[in-house]
Amino acid sequence: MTPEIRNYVAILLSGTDPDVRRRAAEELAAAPGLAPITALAAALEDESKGVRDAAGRSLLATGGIAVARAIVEYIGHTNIVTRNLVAELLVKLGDTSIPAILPFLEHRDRDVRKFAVDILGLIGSDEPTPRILPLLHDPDDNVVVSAVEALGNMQSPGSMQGLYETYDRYEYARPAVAEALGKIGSGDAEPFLRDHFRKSLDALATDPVTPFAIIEALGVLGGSDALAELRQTLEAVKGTLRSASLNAMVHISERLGRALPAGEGLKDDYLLALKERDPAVRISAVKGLSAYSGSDVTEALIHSLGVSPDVDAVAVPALLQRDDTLHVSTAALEHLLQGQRKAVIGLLGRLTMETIHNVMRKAISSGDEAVFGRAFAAIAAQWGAADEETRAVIVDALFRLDGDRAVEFLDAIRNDPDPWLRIHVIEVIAAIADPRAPEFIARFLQDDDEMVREVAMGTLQNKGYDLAPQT
Amino acid sequence: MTIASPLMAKPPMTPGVKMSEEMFRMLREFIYQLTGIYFQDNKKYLLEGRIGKRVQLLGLNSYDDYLQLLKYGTHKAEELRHFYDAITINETFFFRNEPQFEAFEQTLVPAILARRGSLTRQKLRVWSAASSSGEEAHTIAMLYLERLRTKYQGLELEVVGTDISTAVLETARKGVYREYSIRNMPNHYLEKYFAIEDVRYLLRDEVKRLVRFDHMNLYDQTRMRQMTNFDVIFCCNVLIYFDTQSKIQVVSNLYNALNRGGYLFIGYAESLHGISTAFKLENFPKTVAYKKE
Amino acid sequence: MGRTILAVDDSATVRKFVSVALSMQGFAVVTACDGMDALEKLPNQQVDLVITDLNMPNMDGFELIKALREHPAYKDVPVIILTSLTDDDSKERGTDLGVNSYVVKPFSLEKIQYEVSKYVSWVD
Repeated sequence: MTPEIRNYVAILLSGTDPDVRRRAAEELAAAPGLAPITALAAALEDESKGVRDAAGRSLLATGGIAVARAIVEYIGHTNIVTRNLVAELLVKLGDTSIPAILPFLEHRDRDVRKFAVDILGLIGSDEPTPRILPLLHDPDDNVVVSAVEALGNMQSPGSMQGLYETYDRYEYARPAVAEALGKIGSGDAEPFLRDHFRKSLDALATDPVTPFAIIEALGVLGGSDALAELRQTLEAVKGTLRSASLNAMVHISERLGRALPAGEGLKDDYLLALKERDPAVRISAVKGLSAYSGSDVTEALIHSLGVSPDVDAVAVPALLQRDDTLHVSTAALEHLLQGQRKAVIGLLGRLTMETIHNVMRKAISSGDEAVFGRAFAAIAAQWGAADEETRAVIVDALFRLDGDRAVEFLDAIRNDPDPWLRIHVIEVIAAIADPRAPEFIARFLQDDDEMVREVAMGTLQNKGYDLAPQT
Repeated sequence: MTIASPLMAKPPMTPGVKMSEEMFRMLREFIYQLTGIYFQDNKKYLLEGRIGKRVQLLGLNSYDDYLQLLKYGTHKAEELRHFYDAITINETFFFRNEPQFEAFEQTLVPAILARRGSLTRQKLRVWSAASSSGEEAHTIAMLYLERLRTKYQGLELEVVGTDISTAVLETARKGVYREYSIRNMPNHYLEKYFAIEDVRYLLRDEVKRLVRFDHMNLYDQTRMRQMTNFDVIFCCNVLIYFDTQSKIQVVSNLYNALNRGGYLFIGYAESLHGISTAFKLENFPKTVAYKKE
Repeated sequence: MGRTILAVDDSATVRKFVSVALSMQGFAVVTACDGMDALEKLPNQQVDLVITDLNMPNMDGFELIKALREHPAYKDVPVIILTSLTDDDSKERGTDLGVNSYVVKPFSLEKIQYEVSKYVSWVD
């Protein structure tokens, strides 16, 4: 141990100023030897949060089984803060911690046993499986449920038999068992889950959680039998459960390469599923709704935008396929919340020329040319409240919709504080064949920003425009 | 009858020189090593547009040449300044996060002063980290002039605004703003602290005098260690550009820069979850602040 | 208007199941994985009831409850503790902090719904 390290250890253990102790803890990150590790472990009980935080980070940076062994006993500490901090560190240290934790699975205190099981489950390796299986028979119920959860998190196929038995033995462990089987993901569990599904539906009124967990698990690992079962029971379940069923059916259908469940009766169910909290369920709803035409569906899809990027990634392409997207989104734009508006403007910005030509053809034949005018006005109105990224998208959308009007709107854009946007606008104008283009670009020759002036100059020269001074 | 005439043959979304995935990864790594800022995959268009612009302006043939210039060129220090300007997003405006300023004025400042006990002359030090064109720093200065100075006799204010982009620091020092920046400002502030010249809003000297702007890379450990004894730090909407590891480092430095009893503000959509357990979280109407106890 | 319940637990399984159980009764459920996560989410919500575990990283249940009781907007919000800890110390600490109910895991659905119904009624 170098004198430097010895000094830091001393400060950490007995310094009076917490900022100095914290600095000492930071300096001991990855310092070799047991003394720093022991000192850092002790510092997990320091009265200053700042010191505890730094000690935790340094222990992580050091890593290794020595650290795990130095801190693992704290999982039984009387202070809940220390216990939780150590648990978090052990999880972050990962597989190396496992040997240090295993002995605690037989601790006499059931809270410690439970804690040890939870931590192993979060670490995720299925190596401890043989030591956890006996805990499915632990005298304490919470330890049993934790063991079930952990086996699921570890995805250990060797535990499935034990899980089936636990389902039959302990009523309250059933949702956890179903979920664990889903996480393990083996199709071998399908017959078991299907068999118990009907029975769980009989007890729906007192326990909706078990059927829910089974439905989710079947969605992950079920095949055509599960699909049929879910279809048959769909009417028997309502609300969140029905949306979950629909979600499971969509997943199974995709796995089997089949068409998604459809039919007039399911449209409303999909629309309800679109409002569920779980983004995965919403994604399935979007996929299901793609089979249905009608502006009620288009509108629902538009309203689903702007909440989850994952859902948007599926909803936007779906909307781009629909004929009435431009029309419906324009009408909706004003009534949406800020976050949704940004997503819708982004959607409109991605309308391809082909889409716009299709819409234009339809508009002309149906006599509604004003759709473009309305769309333009609605998008232009969003300029003031839009952020940088959105403003770039608005510029592009406006040019696609109505190049003439967009050129006039540019006067407002010239005063935008962001030089990059002003450059983007120069490039956009330069790409169009409008006789007013050089005049607009020339105005940027007087821009405040040197870079913008350079781009304007370069663009005009490249296009061969006359650079006579403007009066 | 006028039918809309879409004149664009193809969308002008990605101008500039096309950037390969490989080059994007190299640039991303380079930026990360320097600044801790991490460019997500979906932000490739941003690098392409802006760095493409630099490549063209310098008359270079490829991104490879540009990267060489940044790493080994004789004028790399100067180009690095332009580079930093190119990779930062500087979206901000006055009174951007009102709940934060209210919490600052009504609860934080009284708590900080009370903790110190009574002294005839007290100085409050505030740091606007990633200050961009200075709107946030100047908002704090105006709040002090308008509300705090009268409420607490003998209270002085020092605001330090820092940013990695020198271009915005220049703008901040000039104190000249446009419509976009003042859109959320209450009218009486506008009348009292600005002179209006055509489409420009010129900040008055009494406000500018309270703020000092400096260059700072939040990821530079050595420089960050020099920032000490702050009572309040505003670090809003910049942590989102860092990945978890660099965020942890930056936030740890911010903690060290605070006095005991000092506070940290971050952006309203941001979180210190999984980043730091050193602070105590305090709730205020519509916002939270992180206290160094 | 529906009622909103904040459910705080570091186990994703518990969060999911409490969420399902209560949303089937018509409540809107917001979840958080620990005290810190919960406090960061609060400014944007109107919360009518909080259910929280005690053993959680980053900020445990006791600290969360203390922060809630010091918060002007949430000092009177009903709080139910849902935990596997049955020691008297924990229960006493809960009472001292002004907790409304203490439910022990493993919980039955009925028990949760009963406790919740004591403090917030669901609206059809």
